[in-house]
Amino acid sequence: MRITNSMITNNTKSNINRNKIMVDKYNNQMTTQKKISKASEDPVIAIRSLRLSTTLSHIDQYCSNISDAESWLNVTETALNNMKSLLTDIRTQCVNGSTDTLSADDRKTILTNLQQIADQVYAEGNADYTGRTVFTGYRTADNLTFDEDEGNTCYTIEEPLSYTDLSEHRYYSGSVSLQDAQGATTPCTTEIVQDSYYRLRLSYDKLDSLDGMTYTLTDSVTGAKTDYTAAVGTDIKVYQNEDEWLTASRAAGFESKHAEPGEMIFLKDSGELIMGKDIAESMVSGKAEFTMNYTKTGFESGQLRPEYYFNCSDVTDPAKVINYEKEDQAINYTISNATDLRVNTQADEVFDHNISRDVTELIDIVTTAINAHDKVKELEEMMAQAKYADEDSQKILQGYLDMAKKEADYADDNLQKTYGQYITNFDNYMSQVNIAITNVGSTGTRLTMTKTRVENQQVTIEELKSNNEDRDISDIIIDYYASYYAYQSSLTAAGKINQTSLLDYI
Amino acid sequence: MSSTFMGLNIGGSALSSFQTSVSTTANNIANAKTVGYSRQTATLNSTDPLRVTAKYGSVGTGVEVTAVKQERDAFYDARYWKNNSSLGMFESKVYYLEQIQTYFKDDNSQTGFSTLFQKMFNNLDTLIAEGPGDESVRNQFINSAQNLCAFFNSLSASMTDLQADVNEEVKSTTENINSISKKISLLNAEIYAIEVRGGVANELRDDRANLVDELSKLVSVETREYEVVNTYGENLGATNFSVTINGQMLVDGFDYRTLECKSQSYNNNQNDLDGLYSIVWSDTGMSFAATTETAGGSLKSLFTIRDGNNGECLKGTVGAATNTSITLEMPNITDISKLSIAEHGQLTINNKTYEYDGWTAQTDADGNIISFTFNLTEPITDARVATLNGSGKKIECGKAVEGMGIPYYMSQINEVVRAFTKLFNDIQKEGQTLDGDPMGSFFIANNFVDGTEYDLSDWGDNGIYTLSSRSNTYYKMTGATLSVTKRSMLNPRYFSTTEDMVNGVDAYDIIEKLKPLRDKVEVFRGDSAGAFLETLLSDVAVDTNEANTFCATYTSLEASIGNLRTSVSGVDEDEEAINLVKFQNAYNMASKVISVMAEMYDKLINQTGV
Repeated sequence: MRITNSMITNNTKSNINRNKIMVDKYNNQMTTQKKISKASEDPVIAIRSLRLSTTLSHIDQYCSNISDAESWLNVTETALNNMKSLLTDIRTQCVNGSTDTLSADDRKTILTNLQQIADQVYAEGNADYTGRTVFTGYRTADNLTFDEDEGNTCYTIEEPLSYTDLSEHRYYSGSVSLQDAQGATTPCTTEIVQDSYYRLRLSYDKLDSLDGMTYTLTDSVTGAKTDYTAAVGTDIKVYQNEDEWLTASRAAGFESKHAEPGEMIFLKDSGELIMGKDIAESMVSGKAEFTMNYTKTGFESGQLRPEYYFNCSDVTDPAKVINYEKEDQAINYTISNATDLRVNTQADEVFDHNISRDVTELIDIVTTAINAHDKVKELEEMMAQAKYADEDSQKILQGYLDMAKKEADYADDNLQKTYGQYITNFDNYMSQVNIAITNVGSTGTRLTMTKTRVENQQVTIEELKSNNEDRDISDIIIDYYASYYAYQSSLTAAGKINQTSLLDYI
Repeated sequence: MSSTFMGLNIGGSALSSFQTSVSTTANNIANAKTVGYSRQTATLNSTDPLRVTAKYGSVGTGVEVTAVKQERDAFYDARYWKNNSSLGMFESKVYYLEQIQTYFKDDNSQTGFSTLFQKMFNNLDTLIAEGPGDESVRNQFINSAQNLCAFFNSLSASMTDLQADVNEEVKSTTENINSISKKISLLNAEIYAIEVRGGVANELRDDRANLVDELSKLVSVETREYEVVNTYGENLGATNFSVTINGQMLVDGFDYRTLECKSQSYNNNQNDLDGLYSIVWSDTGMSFAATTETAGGSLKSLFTIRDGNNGECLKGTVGAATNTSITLEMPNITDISKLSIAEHGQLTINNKTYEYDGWTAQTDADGNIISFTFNLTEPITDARVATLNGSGKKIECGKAVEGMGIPYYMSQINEVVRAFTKLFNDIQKEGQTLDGDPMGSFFIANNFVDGTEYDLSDWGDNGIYTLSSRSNTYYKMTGATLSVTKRSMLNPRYFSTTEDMVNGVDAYDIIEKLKPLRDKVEVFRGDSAGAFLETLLSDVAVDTNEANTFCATYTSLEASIGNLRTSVSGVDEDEEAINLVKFQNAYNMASKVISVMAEMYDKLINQTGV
């Protein structure tokens, strides 16, 4: 073929250009350290890099979720530990109260301690993580307890109970009146009587009304279940408080608070259902499951909100009734691919209504004991006064004193027995809390394991991504210099070839 | 015996011939760097010998120049032009695809769909972790959703801008073709005038070939040069030159034709710019076939980029027809979210076109479209109604153009946007806002005409619907109109995270339902929404990659054919230098001949026998 100068020039030009393209490419790679700068240079690398970025973005989110979950669990664990120490404190008071001999000072100390604790029993339930309460399920904006006294707030509550909640409780009738004794004219007619009945204690006291009660009994032989409805007013007698009950019993000819063997009695103030002997036995043998419906108006600060525990309705404003349904509200964090972790512990697992009910009762009992002993002390002092020095007065007062001593003995006995019983109760509450702490701990362990795995994954994916799209700098430098030399030599060659022509030699 | 003074004549002829040769060489040297110049050669022929009455018969009479002709091979020209058309096509395709490709870019240097999409869903997770009841966290999510919308808006706007650019280039290309067409015909006339008198118009021919070089980059070109004969079939010594582009005659001898750009009164695709150009022949008004199989050049790729919808358009059979409407039955697209027909478009039945300015669609009980009725802009005759009505003829709405161009990417964007937002909105509507009110559409389509929002509520999965191009449906949702509803933007409480707010502000059952939309639910082309970018990026990347490869191939072919061409017609300086020396020597020798002859005459006349 005939080769002309312009052909050589053209070829030289395109060769130089080709070398320049390579120099440019490697220069680009050198600055970015990426294999490609446009997807079309290698679609496979580009798409794979996109996928890996997506995976990486997922993993980054898992990491952020994991650290959130860690904080959440830490807050939960701290609150549970505080709760545990609080329960330990109460239990210590119970142990103190159950000892044989208590001095007046001992009782005072117990009372003060319990009163202090009573206010903060559920305070830990309002623990929050960045403004979200951790024990309240999805209602993280609300506290577990009422924040202030809400006198008008009204709920209708449906509370499920079981025969295991039935416990024997002692009721006392009669109390020595110091006023009567002061005259020292009428002899003491008061008789202190102790009655013991099975009772079912509801979660709330100071109720407006009992709206209904149903229960299911299981036949011990056939296993068949039968539903019963107890009619309020007929099957269940409703009284405002123990005094009203006592009055009614006395009117019926009984000396003390009385429940017929087949009778049920409901006390609104204390939220208790008292059962006669027979019916209580049949409930236990029938493994009864109860559903109690009741209305309560007015809640105190620190009291548990019913919606976290029961199916209930807020009927404060009849035009705007809010229906709450008790459900399991799990907050799950996605901590790795297809792995959800439940981070929240729900209030009803650890914050039992009975804790505060027990504490209130303990306070009542110890107060009663203190009062009884005070009465004894006062009567003894009266008897020592010159005013009552005559024989008649002494005799009458002695009658009061004997009865007051009986009352104090009963109170002491009740104090000691109840405190002894409640040690078991608080052991149970504590074990609930302990179980929750263990759960949180094991969740934390799982979280830590997942964290390690996710972090490893992150490293692996980053490595894969880098392998896919990054070039080793030493490789680039080698390629760069190779192309650079090729470029230089093509320049040299071009310079030479265009320098001379035949004319130089003619 | 030859003439005594013949030698002087021979010397004289040699002197003038070599002078011409040296001039030709000089001209070659002068034009060594002229683009498109073909090397010329002076053809030397010995003049006719003279018969003399001598034993040796005849004597030579000298030399003459018979022609100065250019060295050029028409075969290589044709090959060059053909290759140039392909090269032009792929060069312009690469140019535009590289641009489209950057719109889909998503890496460290540029935030794209995947990053924004993943961020939005990561924010959903954050919403669970930090509390769906928290307004600032809700706002964070809403903003990330709006960022995604803004991405689609800007993507759409970029695509539309690009389409406008391409459209302008169509116009300038057409003008370019027109000016070349005119110039070639003028050159044809001049060449004819020169050559009919028996010469060769070398330079003008070079000019003409240069013009064809230029033209071949724009369209595919074929040329023919044929002899001009008179009515008796005698050759007049001149030739005519004709040029056809994309198989249609552009220049024939002195005649030339021109093309014209006309703004279309209708659109072929939903998101097309209004008034895109179509090219027609100025003289006949027939449309110019720029995208046929035989077409080529940058003009073809301009149309592919501007109109290419991967050969997809609404097709069906003709149902009922009236003077003012035509019904399309058995449509190939039954899902309104996949519909990208224009509001004001064109129907094609048996190669005849009908313009429409609106349509209605009828669905069956499952919400699938069973027929479309198009309102015709111009009423049709009763005779035509009779041939169309119930004929079951094949009908096409819009134009199926092969190749993945701007309309293709636009309709893909629409498809993913519609499918995704519908799933998202449907789940949203199951829930309640933070205020406990029922939630509406979270993603809406903007109505740019009156500034309101389409909440897309005219159509659902079930029920029989009659919809029109103006209905409040997902047809209105495009990459350009997509947005988060203003209500949510202004008030982060307007977003649902749970079915029932009474469960607590942090209940997140709706979020749990939304999460699978990220990568578990099939949304787009058998894949999840998250894979959208992968799918489209691989479309454009593979397409660009392929175009680049072709471009490289045709560039190297161009170089080699170009080399072959210059091998024949290029000027070689060394060669010309040799010629210069050669012809100078010959000239010197010829002048020596004359001086020898002069001496001989001097001897003979002045010194012999005197």
